[in-house]
Amino acid sequence: MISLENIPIRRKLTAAIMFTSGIVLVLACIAFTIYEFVAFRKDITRNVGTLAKVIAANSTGALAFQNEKDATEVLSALKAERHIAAAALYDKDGVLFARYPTNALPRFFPVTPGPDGHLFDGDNLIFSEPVAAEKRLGTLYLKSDLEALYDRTLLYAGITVLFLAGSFVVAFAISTSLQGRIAKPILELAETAQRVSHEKDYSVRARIGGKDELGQLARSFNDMLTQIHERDLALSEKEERLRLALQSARTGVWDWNLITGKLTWDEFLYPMFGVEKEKFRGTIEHVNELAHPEDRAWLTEALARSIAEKTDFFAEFRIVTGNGTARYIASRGRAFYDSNGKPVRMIGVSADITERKRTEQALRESEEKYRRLSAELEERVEKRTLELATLNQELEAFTYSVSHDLRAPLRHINAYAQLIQEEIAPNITPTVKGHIKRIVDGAKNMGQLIDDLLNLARVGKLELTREKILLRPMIEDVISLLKPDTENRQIEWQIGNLRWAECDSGLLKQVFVNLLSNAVKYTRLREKTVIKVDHTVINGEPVIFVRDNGVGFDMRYASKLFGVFQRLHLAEQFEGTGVGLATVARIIQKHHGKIWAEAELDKGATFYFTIPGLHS
Amino acid sequence: MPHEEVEILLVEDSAEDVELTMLALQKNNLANKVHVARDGAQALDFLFCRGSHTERSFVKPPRFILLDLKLPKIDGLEVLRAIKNDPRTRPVPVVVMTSSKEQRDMVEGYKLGVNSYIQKPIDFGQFREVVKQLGYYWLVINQPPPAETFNP
Repeated sequence: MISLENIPIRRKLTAAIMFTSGIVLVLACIAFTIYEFVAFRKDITRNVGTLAKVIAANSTGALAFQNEKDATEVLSALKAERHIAAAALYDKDGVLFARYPTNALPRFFPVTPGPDGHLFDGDNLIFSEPVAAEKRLGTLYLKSDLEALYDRTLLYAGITVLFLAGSFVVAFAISTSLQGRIAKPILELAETAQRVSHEKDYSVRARIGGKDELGQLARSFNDMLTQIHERDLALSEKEERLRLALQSARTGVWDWNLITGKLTWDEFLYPMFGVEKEKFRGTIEHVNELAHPEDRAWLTEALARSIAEKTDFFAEFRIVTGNGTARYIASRGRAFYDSNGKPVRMIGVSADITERKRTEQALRESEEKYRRLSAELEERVEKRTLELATLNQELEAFTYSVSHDLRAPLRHINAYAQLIQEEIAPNITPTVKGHIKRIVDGAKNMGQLIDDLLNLARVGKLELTREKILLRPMIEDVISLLKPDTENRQIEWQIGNLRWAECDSGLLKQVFVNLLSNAVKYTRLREKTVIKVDHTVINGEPVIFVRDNGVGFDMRYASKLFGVFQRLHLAEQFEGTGVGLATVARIIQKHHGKIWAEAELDKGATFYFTIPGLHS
Repeated sequence: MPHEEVEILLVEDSAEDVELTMLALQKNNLANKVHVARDGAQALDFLFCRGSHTERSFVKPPRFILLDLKLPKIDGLEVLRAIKNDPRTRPVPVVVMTSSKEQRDMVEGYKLGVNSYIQKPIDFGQFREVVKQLGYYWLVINQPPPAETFNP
């Protein structure tokens, strides 16, 4: 038997439409036929009744006069009525008086007439019509067969059947076209779904007809397809990514069936363990054989413990590959249990961590090396510091000794030379006097040199005490200090609007003493000396400068200017120790400032310096 | 000179400096009552009346002391410390006269209570001038501490 569910929807729809329209049609035909039947019976009854009344009226004379012949004649007029099967007249006493057809046997008629009225008796309609003229004369019995009724009914039934058949054909035609419209989208949808499921092609889409439920269905179906498609893409992307990640992390996945003992590897694990796919036996024992002999026992134990204690398995072990090289493998896994707590499966990943291990080893080594180096360095620094401290102490002792002991002989040379001069004063020759002067001056110069050097050393060691210093008074003070050298000179001092600086007062004063005394010294040959002390801005930085119109210097030697013992002039030309500018540079440097000079031979020199906290 | 009253105690290790100082003092007639100590130990023995100076008395101290700093045995600053730490010697004026003007020596000297600090000039003429002025100042101009200053 064909189940309704298995019938194609196209046929199901047609069947439904045909069944529904058929039922309706049949019911309509039955109703129509019944109506026709009833209506026609009424017609017949009325017609026969009228005939009966006419016959009855015509029979009154015959009955009143008991004229059988007339009666029979009246009745025989019924010949014209094909359907009248029989007729009879009964007198007032109910005795059969005349009959039609005349040849009909009396037993075909009832013995006495029935009550007035009509009745359907089988296939006949029987009328009992009273015959009366003022008073009752008798009864007319009229029997009509119902053949006409049945003929007509049959005709109607035939028409109905024909109509029914025609209607079915029309209904079938309509339903076929209708079901096409309804079923087509469904069929298309079904086809699309089949394609998706067979070809796994999620890019196909169902055609969307309208906005009805089918349209909605198609749309939903398409949405679903889109989602599936996207998920499919995402999934495959993820899979690919995972694959890449596993690959790049040199990681492989393993699956160990704890019931059958079958160990399954993914594609990455074979090269990792250095085993060809065909040669891998697929057992944990094989893996254990691949492991380094020293790692085998604890590896087995670790696996068993992880399964027994239901903890994650983790191990870093060595394997020896076919070519005898050791590799490091890190494995991580987790066992799964059935409802009875029996371990059934263990899944995990293994990664080649040889590189990491090597890096770690290298790192450890380099760390160790670094530690050793830094310890060494520390030791060296300590040693150097100690050496430096010793050196510093020595240097201090040296300068102390210099300041005490080197000056003493100079004083003695100076003193005794002067004593000699005094001793022989009366007969001293100019030559001897000159020699003695050389001795005395030499000693004095050396004393000065020692003082300058000691000062330079002192400046280097000194801690700065910064304070706010008004520059003009300081410069004026320095100028007055230089008085012994400026007497009898024509010097024009041009002091600019210098305000204040934040620096070490004693040291800044030394700077000005040196620069101004130099300016005074190197302008000695000028008839009129101009020395300018002012400030300006160079490269956005306030700068103090000291400018003179003296002999200047060749810029080629500018780099030697601030070196110790560096002199650009002969001592007999311009006296000096070659320490002054070195000291100045040291002081500026200690203040994190800069110093430089610009000059041209015979056209004067300008010394510039910057000093933080300078306000002009 | 033990029994004579000493006016100047010259503490100086260098023979040349002793001679030059003496020359400078003599030139100004100030060298009559000078006692020379050649190191710090001798100076302290003299001042604290001990060793070969037991016959001396604290109540008759020198008018002033010319003290060099770089000295054998006990250096100048130690001598100064000993003098200024003892009430019997503390009132005696001490003039440090040394080659250097090392900052730390000056600081330490003044902290210990030195009465004057002089750097020996290299020029002999200036040296003589300094010695002369010192002598005049401490022997003539300055009022010495009264005798009872030294009474215990």
